[in-house]
Amino acid sequence: MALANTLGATFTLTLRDNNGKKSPMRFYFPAAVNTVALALTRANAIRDTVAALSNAVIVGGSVNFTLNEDDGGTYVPESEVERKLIVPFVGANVRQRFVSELPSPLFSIEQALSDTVDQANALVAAYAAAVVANAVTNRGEALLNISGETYIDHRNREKA
Amino acid sequence: MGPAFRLYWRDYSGKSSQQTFWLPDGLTIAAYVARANALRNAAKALSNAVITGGDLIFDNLVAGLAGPPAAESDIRTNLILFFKGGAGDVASWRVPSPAALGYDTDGEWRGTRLQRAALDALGLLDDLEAAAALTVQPWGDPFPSTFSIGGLDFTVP
Repeated sequence: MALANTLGATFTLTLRDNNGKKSPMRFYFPAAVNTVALALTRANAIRDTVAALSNAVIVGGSVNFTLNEDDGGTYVPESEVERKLIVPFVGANVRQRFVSELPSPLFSIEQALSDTVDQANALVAAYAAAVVANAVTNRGEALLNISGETYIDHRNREKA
Repeated sequence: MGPAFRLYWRDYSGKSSQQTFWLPDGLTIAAYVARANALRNAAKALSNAVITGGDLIFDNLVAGLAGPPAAESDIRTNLILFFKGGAGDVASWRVPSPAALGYDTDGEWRGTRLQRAALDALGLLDDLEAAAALTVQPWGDPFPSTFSIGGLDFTVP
C-alpha cells in the first residue's frame, strides 16, 4: 500500500519563438532511468539534438517521475475534494510559510459549531509531524511547526 | 523552487484534486519516494478521498540555451520527424519552429519533406537517432529510433 516509482519519467522541453509564444515537446524515459542524474544526462542529450533542429530558443526542461498508487481505495459517498483541511506551517525563516490544503478530511475531526480543527487530534498531529519531517518551504527551508489556525474550508460554498 | 511532490486525489463524485509539497534538494529518488510515502500515509489517514497517484517534479532541471530565438522562428510551424522500428512500428517527434534543414520542395503547401540523406549531410542523423533511442513510448515500449522522413506541418491561426 504505497506509491512506487515503477512507470519511468517524463521529460518536457519548452521552446519559445520570436513572438514569445512557447511550445512543449514531451519525451518518456524507461523505468531504468531511476535517478535525477540519469534523467538529466538523457534530457541534456535530447535538448542539444532538438536545438540543432529548431530555430526557436530552448528555455528549459522539467522531469517528472510518475508514482504509481497500488491501493485502489474505496470511494466514500460523502467524500468531497472541495472540502479542505487547511494547515498552515511556518519555516525556519519565519517569513516563509507553507499552507497545506488536504482534500476531503474525515468528518470525525470536526468540532461542533466551528470550522476550527483541534491540532491535538491524533490524526491531525500525525499529519503535521509527517509534513514537518518530510517537506520544506518553496525556498527549501525546513518547516518548524503549525503556525496559526487549523480549520475546514469548503470551496464553492458560501459561508453562513 | 526545488523539487516537489504532487499527490493526486479523487472523491466519490469523480472530482479530482491535488496537493503539492516542496521537498529538499539533493536526495536520491529512493529517498524522495520514501518522503512521498510518509506524506501520503499521513494524508491518507486523515482523508476519506482516494489517492490516485503522485509525481516527483523537478521543474527547470534542464537548463535553457543562451541566445535569442531566430527572427523568423514561429512555433506554429512544426517539423514532424517519423521513426520506424524493426517490428514495423512507427512513432514521431514534433519539433516546433524547424531550422532550415535542406527540405525537398515539391511545390505543394504541405509538400516539403526532409529526407534521410539531407539530415545525414548536415551531420544530424546519428545524433537524432541516438537521442530517440534514449526514450520510450508513453506505455513503456522501446521508441522506434530509425529516422524515416520528416515533414512540415503548419498551424493556421
